Amino acid sequence: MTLSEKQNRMIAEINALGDCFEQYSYLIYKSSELPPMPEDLRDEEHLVRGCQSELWLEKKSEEGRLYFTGWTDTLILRGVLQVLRDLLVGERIEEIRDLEISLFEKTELGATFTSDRNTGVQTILRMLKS
Amino acid sequence: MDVQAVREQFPILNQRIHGRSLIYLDNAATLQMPERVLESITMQYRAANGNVHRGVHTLSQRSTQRMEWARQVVADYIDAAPEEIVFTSGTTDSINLLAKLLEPTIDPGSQIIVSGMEHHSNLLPWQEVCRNTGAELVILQVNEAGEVSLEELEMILKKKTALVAVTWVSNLLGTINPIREITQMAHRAGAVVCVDGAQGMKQADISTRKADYDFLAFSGHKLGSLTGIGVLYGKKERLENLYPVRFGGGMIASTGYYDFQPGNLPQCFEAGTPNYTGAISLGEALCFLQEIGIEKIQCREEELTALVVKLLQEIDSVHVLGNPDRRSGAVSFAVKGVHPFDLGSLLDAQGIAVRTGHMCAQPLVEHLGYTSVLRVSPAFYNTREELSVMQDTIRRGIEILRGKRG
Repeated sequence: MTLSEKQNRMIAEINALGDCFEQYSYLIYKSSELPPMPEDLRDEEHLVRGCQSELWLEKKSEEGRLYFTGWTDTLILRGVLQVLRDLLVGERIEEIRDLEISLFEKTELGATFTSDRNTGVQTILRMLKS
Repeated sequence: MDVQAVREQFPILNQRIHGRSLIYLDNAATLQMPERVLESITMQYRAANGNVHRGVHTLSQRSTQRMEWARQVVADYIDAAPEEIVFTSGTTDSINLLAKLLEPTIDPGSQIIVSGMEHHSNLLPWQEVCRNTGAELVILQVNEAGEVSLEELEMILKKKTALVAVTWVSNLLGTINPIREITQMAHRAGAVVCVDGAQGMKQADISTRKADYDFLAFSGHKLGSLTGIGVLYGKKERLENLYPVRFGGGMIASTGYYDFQPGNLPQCFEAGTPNYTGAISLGEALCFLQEIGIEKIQCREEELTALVVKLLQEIDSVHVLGNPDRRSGAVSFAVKGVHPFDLGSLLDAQGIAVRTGHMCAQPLVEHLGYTSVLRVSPAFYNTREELSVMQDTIRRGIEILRGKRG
């Protein structure tokens, strides 16, 4: 399965959950799967600018594949991070760069992010692709 | 008040957000615009638009007459004279303008008193004035109830004070401050008073005659007009002694290449093309509010605000910030263990518009022990049923965020 096909499958699964309240519930459930980020990594270097709430991101590549984790105080953004991890962790960086990430636009999740937070999500996506 | 009839005047309220009826509870950020104001804006551009004060032609004269009519409406609304009404782009602009106007009059040995519940708009300009003049900035602290103490003010006023800057109504807590008493005390101490009226313009006692403050700043969009229009009111005898700080078209009596004579009040403080369409929309908005009745609006908003407090306090682990004697239009709260952004996003998913963050009153939010809170701000057109749905949805949202459901 290509990365694009994987994304389409996730979009279909999220949309099958129901209205945006249910989809938010799913994000909150996903937030519990995000492994806590060590305190010493929550520093200026890992801080993502442009988010309403503080959010830290750490990423690395191994043999051309992307690995990342992150942390934030808000459950919904933790859920966003975990959903992105489900989609992207361990995938080839070249393929990630070519992928148009539409996971939030094609589900109810993106519609309910505030514009500030949407900017934050866009910043996360930009950082992951860079 | 016939709330359903009033709501029909606000077409934006009748819509669905994410499949649910909109419940708009962010009125302290901006009030929605009534049909009458929408029509006046359309009419302005369809039939009357021409730049003001410059032309002999009919359209220019129509626009000028309508803007000056609006100035008279604003003046009547607060019991002032039209020459005391300076149009600006909003509260922030008004206070920045005032700070620049007053700066040359501030003695380095004096102090400026600012209440601890100010919006950044009525704090940062005075921080800047103090930096530039050497005057001392003194904060009139807010207690747990979310009120300032007049006894403390009396104490602070013993030192030479140039200015007291205070908000009529707190945008975070909804606290209604005793402006009349504060003004009397400040005047006894020889200080001038600048009132931030951004949240206070639906109070029946906003009148300059009743409260006697020297300057008042407010925005139109919180009263149902366009954004980008606001007012700086100044007592005539105060404004007459201030020298303009903005220069250009429309503010002069005459000019040559090397010198100019400022024009009369208030035009000498309105350099450039004023936002005349905004001013006209503000005039219409104030007429709309007056037709309903300011006392009725004030009474209904205080009632709804009290109901918001009661409904929030009924929810487990909700902490309502402050407990002032009188409050209107804004209630902020926090939920133990729940991030405000998460709950705010869940409420939006159910069509309920509230605000999260520090509401541009960061020092006060931090003073009360938080970094971010949620704010519910009802207006006269909200219903009790909407507030009941808000309560249910907050309960459900908290359960989801705590993992008890979903």
